[in-house]
Amino acid sequence: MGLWRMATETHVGRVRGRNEDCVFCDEALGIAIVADGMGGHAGGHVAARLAVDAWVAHLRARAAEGEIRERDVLVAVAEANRAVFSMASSDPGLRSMGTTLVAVCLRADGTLLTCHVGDSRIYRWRDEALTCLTRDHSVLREQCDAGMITSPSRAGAALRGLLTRAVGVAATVVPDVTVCGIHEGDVYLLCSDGLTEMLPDAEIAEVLGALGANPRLAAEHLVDLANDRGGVDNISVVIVSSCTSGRLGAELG
Amino acid sequence: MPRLILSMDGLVLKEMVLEKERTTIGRKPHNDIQIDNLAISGDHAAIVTILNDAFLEDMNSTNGTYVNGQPVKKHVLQSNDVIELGKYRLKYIADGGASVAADQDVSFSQVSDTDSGRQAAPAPEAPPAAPPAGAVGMIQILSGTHAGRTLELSKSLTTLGKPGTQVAVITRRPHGYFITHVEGTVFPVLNGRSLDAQAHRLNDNDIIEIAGVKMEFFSQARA
Repeated sequence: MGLWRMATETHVGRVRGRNEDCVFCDEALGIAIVADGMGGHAGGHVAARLAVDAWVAHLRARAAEGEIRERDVLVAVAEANRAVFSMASSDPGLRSMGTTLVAVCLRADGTLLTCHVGDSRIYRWRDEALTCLTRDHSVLREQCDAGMITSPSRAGAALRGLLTRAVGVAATVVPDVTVCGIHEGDVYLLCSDGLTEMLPDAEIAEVLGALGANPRLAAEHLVDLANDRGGVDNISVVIVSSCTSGRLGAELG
Repeated sequence: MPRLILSMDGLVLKEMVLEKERTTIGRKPHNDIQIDNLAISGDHAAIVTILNDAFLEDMNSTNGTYVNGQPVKKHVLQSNDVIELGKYRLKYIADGGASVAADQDVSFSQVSDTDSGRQAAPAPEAPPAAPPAGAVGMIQILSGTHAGRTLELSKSLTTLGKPGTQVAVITRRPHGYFITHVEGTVFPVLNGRSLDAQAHRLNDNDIIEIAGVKMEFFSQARA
């Protein structure tokens, strides 16, 4: 497997007063994570931070002993949940805080572990096509799947952001964990809903297609675009790329 | 249930249902609708909903509350009224209105004969995604095998160069076009000066050199 390059970018957006998202990546360990916190005054950011720190700490320890297994990721989410839930239970100012969590582990055997709770997402850019690897744990998504509404974008905002699963709001949480194969040239995007609420998938695809070879620029440009469209929520992205050259609008020469 | 659609500069930010009997609007976090902007007072306005009627009240805000362009202290809201607070607009939709997705195409102005006492709301502004109003950036290639070719920069980003040698990207933002280095050891040259890793704004008639090919940037009014 070629060299994986990663870049993170997080921005408060143009409407909110605080950034309650938290991001982390480590190229050497091959892990990346985004958490979008919610609840209370300081709560949102505290929840996201605690979850990321606990998840990363557990996997860092496991990685030192060998290949990361699915079980390790499940335990890491349980650790993250425990960290947030116990803090929320002990500090009245932080009651009912919680966070989403999306994360990936790139393994030496050429497989990718994904892990997901809430409405943050993981996308894969491969062979000129963008695929969302996660299914939002939101009321909107579930109603849409059940055929109760035709399209999430047409539904009332009352349901927007209402999650069916989150880290830290109950004693336990069940993450969606998947294993899939990695291809040379893949680009992965982990993001909070502050990005996907502002940008349609087609535009995300365009950015990953053109700038996939330069994760830092791609991450910055996605955040810029989301802010240009209103920046209603905090925007966080992690780009994980093995792509060596982007699609050219014009080849010169 | 009646709804409010919050927008700024013609861009819909949020849609909210008026579920409570009293919905408060202001900059402070305790408000039901918090708008974190200094032009909005801490407690700016409130909407009281009783059965099918909604009453808007300005809470002695510093910059005032406007409905369809008129300053108001108290106002009985009618469907499609546009409440303005600073640069923010809240469109009031009584029951049964179109949802936000369909509503973006609907004009904000409501001129009707029966409502002659009210002024029409300001016309909707250009969509924020369209940079320098009506103009689109172009690149004309001046040297090399493609000399004479023009390229319209209509997408949010256009990459140019030779893969493996040098690639640059031109991004389209609401406030103009910007060029940034993407890959290669040599950086693009703008008007004879080599760029650094930062994005640089493009002006009309700028001469860009990427991978040994010269080109000119200009903007053109859209037909």
